[in-house]
Amino acid sequence: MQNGLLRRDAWPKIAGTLGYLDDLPFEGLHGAIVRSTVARGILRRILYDPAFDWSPFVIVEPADIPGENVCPGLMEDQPFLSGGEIRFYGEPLALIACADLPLLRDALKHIRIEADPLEPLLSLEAASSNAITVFGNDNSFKTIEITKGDTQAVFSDPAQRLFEGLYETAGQEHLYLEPQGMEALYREGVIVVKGSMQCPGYVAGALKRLSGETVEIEQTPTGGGFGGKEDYPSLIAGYVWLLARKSGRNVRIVYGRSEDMAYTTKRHPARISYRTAIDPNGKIAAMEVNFEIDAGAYCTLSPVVLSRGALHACGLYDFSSVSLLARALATNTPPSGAFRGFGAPQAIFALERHMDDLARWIGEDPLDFRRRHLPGAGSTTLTGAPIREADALRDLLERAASESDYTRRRDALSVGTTPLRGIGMALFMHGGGFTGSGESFLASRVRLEAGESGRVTIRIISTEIGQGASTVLPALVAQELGISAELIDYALPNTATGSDSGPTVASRTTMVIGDLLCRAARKLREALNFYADDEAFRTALKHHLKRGGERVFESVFSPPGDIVWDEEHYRGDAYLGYSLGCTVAEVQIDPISYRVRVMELYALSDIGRVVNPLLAQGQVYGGMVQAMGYALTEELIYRDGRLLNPRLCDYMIPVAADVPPMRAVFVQSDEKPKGLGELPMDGAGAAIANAVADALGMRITKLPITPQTILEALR
Amino acid sequence: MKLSFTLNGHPVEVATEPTLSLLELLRRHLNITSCKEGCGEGECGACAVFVDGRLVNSCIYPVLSLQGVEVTTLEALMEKTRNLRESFERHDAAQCGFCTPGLVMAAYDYLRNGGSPDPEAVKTALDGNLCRCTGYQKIIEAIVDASGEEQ
Ligand code: FES
Ligand code: FES
Repeated sequence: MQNGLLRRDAWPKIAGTLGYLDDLPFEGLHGAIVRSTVARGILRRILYDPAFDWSPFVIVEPADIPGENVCPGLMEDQPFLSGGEIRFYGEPLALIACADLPLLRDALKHIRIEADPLEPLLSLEAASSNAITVFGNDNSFKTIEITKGDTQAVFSDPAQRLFEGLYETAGQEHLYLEPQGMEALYREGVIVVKGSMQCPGYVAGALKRLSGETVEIEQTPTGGGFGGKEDYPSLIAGYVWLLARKSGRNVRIVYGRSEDMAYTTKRHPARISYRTAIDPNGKIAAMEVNFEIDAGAYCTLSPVVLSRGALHACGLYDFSSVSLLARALATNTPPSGAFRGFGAPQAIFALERHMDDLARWIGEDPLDFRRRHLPGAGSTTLTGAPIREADALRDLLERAASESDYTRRRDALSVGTTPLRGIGMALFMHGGGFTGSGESFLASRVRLEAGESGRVTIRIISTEIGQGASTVLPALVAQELGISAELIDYALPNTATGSDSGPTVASRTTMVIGDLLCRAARKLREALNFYADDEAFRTALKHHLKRGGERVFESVFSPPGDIVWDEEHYRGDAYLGYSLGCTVAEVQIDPISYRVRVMELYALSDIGRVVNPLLAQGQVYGGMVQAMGYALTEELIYRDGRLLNPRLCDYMIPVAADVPPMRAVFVQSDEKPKGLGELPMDGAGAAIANAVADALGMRITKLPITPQTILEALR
Repeated sequence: MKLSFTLNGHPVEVATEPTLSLLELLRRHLNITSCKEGCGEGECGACAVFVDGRLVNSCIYPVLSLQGVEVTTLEALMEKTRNLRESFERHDAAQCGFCTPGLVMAAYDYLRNGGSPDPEAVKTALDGNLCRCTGYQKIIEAIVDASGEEQ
């Protein structure tokens, strides 16, 4: 086996011996959350049934919060516990804990919420038209305007033909298989918080505000995140901390599946419209884009989801004039949050569907239409930066077209001998790392620690969440040091002992943190005498320490000089670099049930150097199947702001039998590794939708494409 | 109420609430944690155990029906599932790993009953299991690969 290729924690995972939070022995109280039962209103009081015996319970209300009652997002709007204004159904109002779990569940039935209801704002459409105002004067948490070229001049030219399309996507539940969970433990009289999370640094920040103290945060093995454990765990961490502080006991909260589905964050629903001018040569001359996402009741991370969505709404195509307006709008639904792709899957669905609609409208093959809009030498992005990936993108498209046999298959399918089969493609990119100056602002740092035993430990707070960070990062360090990965340990992320490497999000871990670790490893290598193999390395390292040499090797992010971003005007390089993808999907539609079956998925990805081909392939398969659920079956049904289907039997994620033959192929156009995690989620939904549109010969403008959507399109 | 049954070859006697599920009993009172709660309502297969040789979702198996039965969990099948688990490791079939013990149980049940190495048949056999990370592909490959070996 190649150096460090197999997943490090595979064996205990497969044997079922890896301790996730709820597998760990626990002595203490179980906690629960008392929630609002209206979508919008003013809380009058919480009624605790006087006939019920409350003596074994600890109850926490907002007045028990020693620090600030604010869970920090990009705005300071979301309280840990609301004491007055209720903004969504299920909003946390109080906390309760006791040692006996069944008794705790029973107690929740003896609590009643009295509130004066207000008329709630429940849809993106209503938020957009300002039918009810629940935030500011237009419901917008964040508005972004980007202009490139002069669209006005183009649109007023009578030689142009105009085409419009509105594309809508629904929310999506992460459905990490391990539900959210946290516990607060007394260690030598001090409360430590640990649990299932992606970003210990965020949790530490939130608890500092809540408690006024520095609280040590430790990650437990995490059963999936996909963005759902990015910011949300900060809330539960606050709840266990508050309950532990008041009770003086350890407290654990583990969500049940329904609670997790009903009240945690979801992917942002979106409404994206394009108004496009096509010149007499059939080339896109100008575009007006209106990009709206449903942020839900609180701001959370919505402005940056919006920003990423907007910045992906024109892909890397060569569009000379664009004017874009993007808004993240408030509604009275549970706050939306980060989800693998972070605004990009919505944008790419809309853009790639629009490209197909335009191609069909002017009577051209979608592949040729894309070819004619590829960037060239002087092309710039939506924000005016040079498109450095122009050649790579062209190569990617051509290779994907030939390897997937796109043209021959499309011709074979369109002769009408195979009714209701179709093929579609999506060409897209994903910006690596934080948007804009995010990475400079974070200034992530990493640390390698040399040990007397001749081993090296990575001490950072980037988390393993199933994506393989604890395998890939040691492998990168080992490659840099020229030794085998077995000599590198990956310490469990803990905010008290690990360097602040920032959040585990945005496909940044391999690209940004991996690069920093390589820099630190280079310093270590230079500090040692020459060594030829593992044994010699260990000897050299021991010798180095005995001489009193440095034990700790760090590096800190510094922005590359040639990447310039102007946040105020949205000009310049929005990302450190782009990963590129092209997905081709073939579908078949049952003529009676209108169920769509995906027959094949092909994905070509350009992520620079592939550090671990086995794990990379797994990311692509997993991401594509998640995107398949997003495109076809995953539907959240709300009534009066309340989720009606918070159950796995009513919310259909793909099962093994739904999975078509899949191919995951990589191009390595660059020596440096780039981000991968989000890329396969970005494009597969769009490719599937294009294939469905191809099969039906009509426009498909909504995700998910349920039998109902198809029926409506046919009417 | 009092119950006696066999757990992984050993007789156990427990006093328990009649409303508990087998999963809760195993995890909270008997220290068995290979079975996970992914949904608590029989949809995901993460909580799979054998009861009298039949694979069941322990989260919807009432403790009331436990009297006198034989319960076997992955903890007691380490040797018998070794080849299969090695195949899971080789193929990188576990990402976050939360679904994995349940999938190993389902695959073991499939193979020991003479399940065929045809990937389509394997997919059907995984009917009761959900995995959100892997897209199932590598799990299927791992099971196909292990199907030639003695279970
Ligand atoms: S936890 Fe039992 S089937 Fe999901
Ligand atoms: S590996 Fe995460 S759910 Fe299957």
